[in-house]
Amino acid sequence: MEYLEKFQIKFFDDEMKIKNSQFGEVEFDENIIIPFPEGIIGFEDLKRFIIIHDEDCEPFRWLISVDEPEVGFAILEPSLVVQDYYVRAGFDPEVYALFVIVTLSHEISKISVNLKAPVVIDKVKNLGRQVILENADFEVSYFLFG
Amino acid sequence: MLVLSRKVGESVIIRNDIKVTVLEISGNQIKLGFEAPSNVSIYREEVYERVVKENKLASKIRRDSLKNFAKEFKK
Repeated sequence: MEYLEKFQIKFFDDEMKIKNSQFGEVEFDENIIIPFPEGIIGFEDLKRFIIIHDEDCEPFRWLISVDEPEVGFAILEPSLVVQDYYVRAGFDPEVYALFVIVTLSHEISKISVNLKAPVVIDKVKNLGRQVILENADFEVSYFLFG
Repeated sequence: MLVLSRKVGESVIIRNDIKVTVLEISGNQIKLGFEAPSNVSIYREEVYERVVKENKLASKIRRDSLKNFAKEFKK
């Protein structure tokens, strides 16, 4: 995941800060912002996101809105759930980074990932969007601990 | 709501770049064909609404929940 390594580099002239009740203040470089021209489904007005690493939560990461920092999603690399996800979803891993959104719950057996509608990041253009796949065998609520 | 009637084979044009064509009618099911720029998303309504609902649930993040779960997941 070399693409994500760049998010760990810090420059000092283009720094931005957002505040989130779960993380406190998050400082990041402006150039890690990923534009989402159509937002995320249900949140179409949120057009800028960042992906942050959280060591305590690995392999999960956070997709957080820059404009509405309280809006964030826990995300996961889908190959960790479905080995051939990229092939089955029809995305070239050289061009795209895919993430599935996690729906959390207090009960572990109710934690699910949305395999049906992944977040797709075009690494070349640095653009993000959420797509709904045609694949019949991918569910909106796929329970991780079935 | 704009209401238009179309026969099989007829189309509607939305804005100037989206075309919807009635391909087939069978019983109470209609097959529609869509031609649109690749940046235009087109979804079945009930699937779209299901994803909206799931995203809204998912946006209620609890870092402590995830921390505990991450430990389990790694095993």
